[in-house]
Amino acid sequence: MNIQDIFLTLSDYWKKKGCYIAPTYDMEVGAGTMSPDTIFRVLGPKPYRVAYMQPSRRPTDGRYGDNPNRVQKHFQYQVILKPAPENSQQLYIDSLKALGIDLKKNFLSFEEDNWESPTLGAWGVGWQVMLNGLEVTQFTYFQQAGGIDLYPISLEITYGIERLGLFLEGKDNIYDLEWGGGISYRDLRYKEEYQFSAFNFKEANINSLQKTFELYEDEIKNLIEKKLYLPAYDYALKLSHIFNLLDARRAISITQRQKIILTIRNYVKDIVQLYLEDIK
Amino acid sequence: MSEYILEILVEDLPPSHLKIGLEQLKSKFEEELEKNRIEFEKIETIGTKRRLVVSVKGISESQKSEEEVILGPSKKIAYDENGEPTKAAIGFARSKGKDVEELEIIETPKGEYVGLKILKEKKETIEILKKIIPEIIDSISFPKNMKWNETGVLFSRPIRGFLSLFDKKIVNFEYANLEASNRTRGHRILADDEEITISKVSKYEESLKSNHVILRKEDRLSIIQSEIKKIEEELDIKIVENEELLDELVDMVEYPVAFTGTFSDEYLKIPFEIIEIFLKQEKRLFLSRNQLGELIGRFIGVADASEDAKPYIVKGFERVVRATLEDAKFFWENDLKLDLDQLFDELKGYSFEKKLGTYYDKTLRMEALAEEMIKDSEDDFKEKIKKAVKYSKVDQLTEMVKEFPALQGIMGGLYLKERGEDEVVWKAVYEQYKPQNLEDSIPSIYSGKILSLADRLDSLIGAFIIGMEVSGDKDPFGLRRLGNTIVKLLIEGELDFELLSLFEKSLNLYDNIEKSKEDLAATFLDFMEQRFRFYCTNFKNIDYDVLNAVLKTGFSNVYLDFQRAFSVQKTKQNENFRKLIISYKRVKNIVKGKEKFYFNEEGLVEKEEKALYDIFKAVEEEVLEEVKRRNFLKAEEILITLRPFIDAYFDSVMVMVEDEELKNNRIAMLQRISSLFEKIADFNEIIV
Repeated sequence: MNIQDIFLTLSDYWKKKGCYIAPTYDMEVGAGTMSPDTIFRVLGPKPYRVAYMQPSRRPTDGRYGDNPNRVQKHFQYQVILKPAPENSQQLYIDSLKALGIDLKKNFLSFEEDNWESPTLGAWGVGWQVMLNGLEVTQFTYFQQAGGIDLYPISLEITYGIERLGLFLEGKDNIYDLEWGGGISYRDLRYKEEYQFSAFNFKEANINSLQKTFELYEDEIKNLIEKKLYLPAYDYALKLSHIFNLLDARRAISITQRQKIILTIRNYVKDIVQLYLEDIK
Repeated sequence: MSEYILEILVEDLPPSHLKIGLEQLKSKFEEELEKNRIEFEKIETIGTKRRLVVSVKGISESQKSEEEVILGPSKKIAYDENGEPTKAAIGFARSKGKDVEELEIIETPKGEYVGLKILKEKKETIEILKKIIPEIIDSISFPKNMKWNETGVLFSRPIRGFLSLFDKKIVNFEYANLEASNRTRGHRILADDEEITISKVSKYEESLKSNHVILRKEDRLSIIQSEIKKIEEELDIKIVENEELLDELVDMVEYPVAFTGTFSDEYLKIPFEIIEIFLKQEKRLFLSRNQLGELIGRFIGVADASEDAKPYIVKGFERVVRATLEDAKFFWENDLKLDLDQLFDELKGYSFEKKLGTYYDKTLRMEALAEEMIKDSEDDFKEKIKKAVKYSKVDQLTEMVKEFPALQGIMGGLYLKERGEDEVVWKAVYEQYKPQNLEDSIPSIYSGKILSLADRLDSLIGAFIIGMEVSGDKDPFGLRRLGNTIVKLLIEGELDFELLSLFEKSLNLYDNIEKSKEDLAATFLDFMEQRFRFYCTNFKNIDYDVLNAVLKTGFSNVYLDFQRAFSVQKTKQNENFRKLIISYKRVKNIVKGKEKFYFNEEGLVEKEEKALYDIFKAVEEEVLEEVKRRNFLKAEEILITLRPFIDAYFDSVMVMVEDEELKNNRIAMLQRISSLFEKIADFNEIIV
C-alpha cells in the first residue's frame, strides 16, 4: 500500500467513525498536536471528532537524506476523538485492519509512553504502539492542554505515515516507498531533506533567528492584548519552530532552553485562556 | 466454603504499575475482609497487563457473629437502694429501644455498669463485598494516574470491565460507569477479543487459557525461559542475561513466544554498552554471545503472539534492529567527532544548581577536592586524575547521553578510551556514578573511587551550604542516598580520609557562605554519622551498642571507624572478651567524670596494682602499634590479657581511700588504662 493509499484509507475509515477530515494546517509545526484543530478543540465541553494529515518538522532529526528513516520533516496522521470512546483501543485496532494488516501474523503491543509537550503545557497518558518492534502510532488520553485540566478527556491517535508505509511494504528505507501516481518518496523528498538539513544545521543565521524571535514575541504580546488569540497562536508556533532551529544550530544552552520553553508556554497559557473565555 | 474472584479488566498497564496495583489490591482486600469479619482461607492477587485479579479461596458466606456491648450508667446510678431501676436506667434502655428488664450488669475495669449485649447483625458476604469493592478499587493509586471518562475516576489506565463472581453468582457493584458482570475478554488478537462468559469461579483460569491468556506470571516466565533455552541450544549460543528486562517482558505479554533474528557483524564495532542500551531500551531485545563468549549479531526477543506469527515478527524486528543500530552508529560516530575541550568550555552554560553554579564550576571544585585526597600520590597519577575530573561531565552535552541518560559517565569513558587515554583516566570517568545505590558495586579502579567521592562530596556539601535539608521522611534532593553512597564508597573502597579536612577543603572553594563554618561542620558530621550508623546496621550487621561504643570515642574517618566497629563486633562474640568488657566497666565506673590526675609509678603500694601496672606497661606499646597499623582485632586480643589483672586488682585494691594522694594516683592509673582501651572504643557502651 503506497503512502497516499494509507492516508486515504485512514481518512475513509475515520470519516465513517464520524470524524471531520480537516485540511492540513499551513504552518510549520513539530507535531499534529500543535495544529489548532487539536490544541483548541480538546479544550471546552463540546464533543468533537477530527482527523487530518499533518506534515511535522523536527529540524534536529535531519540527516541530509542519508538515514533510512530519520527525516527533518515527516507526515503524521492525527485523530482526535472527544470524548474518548469506551472502545478506543478496538477502534484503533480496526483501523489497522482496514489498512490490511493481519494482526494474527504480527506482534502488536502497547508500550507505556506518556506524552508531554512542555511548550504547549500539555500532557497525556498512553502508549507507543509497536508493530513487530516498529513504533507506528502514539496513542494518548489527553489530560491537560495549555495548563488546563481537560473535561471531557480526548483520545489522540497519531500515526506515523512513513512508519506504516515501511511496515506495509516490508521496506527498510523510506525513500524507497511509493507515494502514489508513480512518484516515489525519494522523488518528492530527497532534495528537500538534503537542503533543509544543510539549512537547519549550517546555514540558518543564528543572529537573525534570535532577532526574529524577539520581533515575533512583540507581535504575540500585542495580539494577546487585542484578544486576537488565533493569530497570536500562529506566532507562538513560529517561536517554537525558531527555537527548534536554534537548537539544531546548537545555539541554546541548557539554562536558556528552560527559559525559552517557559516563555512559549506562558504565551500559550494566555492564548488558551482567551479561547476559553471566548467560547464560554 | 466458597470462592470469590474479582477481575478488573484494563487497557495495557505498564509492568511496574501491574506490580503496584496487585500489591495494593491484596493488602486492601485483606484489610477490608478482616475489618468486616469475613473469614477466608487464602487470598492472592494475580494478573497480566490487561487484568488485575483477586482470588479469595475458602471465603465464608456470611460475617462472623460478634457481640456488641453497649454500656449505660454505672450500677450505682442505675438502681436505687431498694434495687429498683432509676430514671437513668429506664431512660438508657428506652434510648436503645429496649425494656429496662433487659439490662444486664457488666463488669468493667472501672467497676460494674448496666448495659446491653447485642448480637451484631450477620450480613451475607455478598452484601459486604458489593459495598467494599468499589471503595477498594477507588483507594488504589499509581505513580501516575489518569482520567478517561466523565466519572473523573483516576487509575493507571482506563478500566474497561469487572468480572465479579461468588461461586456462580455475580456480586453486583458499579464503579467508573461500569457494572460488575460474569464476563471477561481473552487475548486481544488471538481470541478476537470477544467476550467470554464465565459460569463459575473454578472455570475462570481455564477459560482464559483456552482464550490465549496465561494468567499467572510464574507460568509466563517458565514458558519464556524454556523457549529461550530452546533457542540457545539450537543455535549453540548464550543469551546476555538481563533480569530487569526479563521481569518487564513477563508482564508485557499474555501469550508469550520467544523469537530470534540476526543483524550484520558490521554493527559489532559499536561499543557493547551502546548496542545493549539501544536494543534493550528501544526494542526490549536480548543480545547473545557465542561459545567463546564473544558478542554476535543475533538478538532474542519475546512477543505476545502465536507461533505462526514468528517468521513475520522476526523479519520485522530484523529491519527495525538494523535501523536502530544505524542510528546508534550515527550517534556514536558523530559524538566521536566532538572536541572534548570545546565541550568542557560549553559546561559554562550548563547549570548544576542555581546557587552552586554551572557544571564547569563544579568540575573545578571537584578537581581541588580530588587533589586534596591524593596529595601524597605520584605526579603522574595526579595528572591523570586531573584529566579524568576535567572530562568527567562533558558527556552530558552529547546527543547520546541526552537520548539515554543512563549512559552518562559510560559514554564519557568510552570517548576517552577511543581517544587513547590511559585506563586510569577513562575508567574513572566510566565508573564515576557507581555506586548508584547501596546495592550497586563501587568503582573497580582507584581513580574511579576518587572521582566518585569528589563528585558526591561536592554535591552534598554544596547542598548543606545552600541550606538544603533532610527532615523526617522528606528528602527532596536525595541527600540521604548521597550520604549513604559516600559511606559505602569510603568503607568498601578502603579510602582512609579524614572527613573534616575534606569538608574544610570543600568549604574553602566557595565564597560568600552565609552560615557559620562551625555550624555547617557540625551539621555535616552529624548527618554523616547518621548515614554511617544506617549503613553499618543495615548492610554490615553491626549492633547498635557496638556503634555507640565506637562513635563515643569520635567520628572522623569513616573507613577507620568502620574497621573499629567491625573488629569490636567480631571480638564481641569471644567469651573472654565479654568478660574483659565486664572488668573494663569497673574501670570506667571509677574514671567516669573525674578530672585528669598525674600518675606516679612510685605511688603504687599493693602487689596487685603493681602487677596490673607491669602488665599494662608491657602491652601498651604493642596495642598502640597495632592500632596504628589499623590492626584492631590484634589490639583487642592483646587487651584481653589484661583481664585477670584488672579483676585481681579490684578484688583486693580499694581505689576510693581516705588518703587523697593515694586515691588520686590510683585513679590516674585507671585513667591511663581506660584511654588505651578508648583507642578502639568505649567498651562501657557494650551490652553484655
